[in-house]
Amino acid sequence: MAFGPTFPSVLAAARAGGDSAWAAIHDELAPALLGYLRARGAAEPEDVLAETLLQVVRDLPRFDGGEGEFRAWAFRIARNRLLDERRRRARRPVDPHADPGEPGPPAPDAAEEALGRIDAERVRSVLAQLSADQRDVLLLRLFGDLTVEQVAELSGRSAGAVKQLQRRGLAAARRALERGAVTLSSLGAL
Amino acid sequence: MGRCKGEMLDDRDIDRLLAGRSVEGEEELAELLAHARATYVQEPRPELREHLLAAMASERPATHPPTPTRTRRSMLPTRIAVRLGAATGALLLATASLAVAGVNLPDPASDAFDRAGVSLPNQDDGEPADRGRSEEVQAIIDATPPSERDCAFGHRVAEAARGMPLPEEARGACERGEQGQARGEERSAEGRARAEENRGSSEAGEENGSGDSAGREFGRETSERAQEQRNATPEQRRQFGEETSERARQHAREQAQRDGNPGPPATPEPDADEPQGQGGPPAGTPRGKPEGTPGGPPEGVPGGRP
Repeated sequence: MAFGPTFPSVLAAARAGGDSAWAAIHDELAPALLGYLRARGAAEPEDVLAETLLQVVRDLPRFDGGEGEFRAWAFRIARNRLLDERRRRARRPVDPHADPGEPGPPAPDAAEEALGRIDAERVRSVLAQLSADQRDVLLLRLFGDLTVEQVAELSGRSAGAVKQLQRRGLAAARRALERGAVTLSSLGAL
Repeated sequence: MGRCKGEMLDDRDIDRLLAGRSVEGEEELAELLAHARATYVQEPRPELREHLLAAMASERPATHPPTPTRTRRSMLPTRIAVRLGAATGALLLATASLAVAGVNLPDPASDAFDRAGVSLPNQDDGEPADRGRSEEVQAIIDATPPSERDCAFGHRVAEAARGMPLPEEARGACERGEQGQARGEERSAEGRARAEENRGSSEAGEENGSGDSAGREFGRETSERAQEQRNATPEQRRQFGEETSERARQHAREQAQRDGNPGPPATPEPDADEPQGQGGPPAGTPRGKPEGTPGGPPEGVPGGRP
């Protein structure tokens, strides 16, 4: 956990309107939330991130809990906003977006960029082998640092179902790696 | 004891892998998860971060000052607030302009400026001016013996109570009354002389001498009513001044009719747009905008919304 023992004071400062506290919360949450939204294939991940953070600001007076609960609450909001976006887009036909979505901007250096693209493609290819539920559970745990119980609560599943999904998801990822998830065609653009 | 590659992962190993720690025999899977985290979990672009922080600040409760940058969602209330602010500012400016022009504002409008800490010119505060006029009226009454409380006395009291000079027509009434008195005295003398000659022919002289008695009556009544104003409210004193002024005009008209002059009109033209009560500008102060003042906004101020 990033805040650790300082989390209560950060939360109190944020409730009092402290700019630095909100900046700290943003810096702690935004990268993980944005990564989750991108990896889940959000069409407009930055817009969904903004909606999520604004919801956090609006509902903070009603929040009660520690840092783990706070993080899980923020990811629950992000997940709900993502579902809202998908419902909106389902009502108006658009070209289907691959799931998982594009990662963030590449590194500026050419060599790093090439390696980064290989890694990104590899990751995307593996994640694409997973079911949506497996991806959801694994990404919440991996990016959100959430426990099985927290993922179960925010996704409306039982803890046993979450454990089963993550186990099967990791097994599928391992199989994809064994098969060689990154094909030559995926590197052709390099 | 290690575990074989491809073996079923247990919950403990899964927790370790998802926490970014290594698990024997699952190095490639751990590396993939690390790459996944590094690939997707990245700091937002600096401009996005700035935008998000500003949007978050604008969403905070009203007790906290919003930052200048706002989201598209919060721009609409801003536009409305700007328009409301501009309309309110224009209303306040117009109201203050009325006050500068010498118009007494109603209490709610004056109170609004008071609450804002703005002192308006030419406004009654209801106390010092009225108190000053009351003392002035009392001083005139005290300085004038009852025997000398004639038409001019009534006018002085009326002017003191009103806080401004009576109209020219009313001020001339006493002079005309004195002239009428003189003419009446002359005619009375002539009548008495004729009566001496012709018995009972002095009626015309007595009639023409009624200007003096009317003036004295006006002064006496004004004096009595003025003394009743000691404990009157500011509004009652203002009413007294206006009524006395009107009675002075009426007195002047009756005097003029007796003299055969048309007299002042019932509602004199210069008073037609005078503010009611005291506190108005001196006579001759222009009320309307000066000639040549353009009606539109100043040059360079666009008419459209900002």
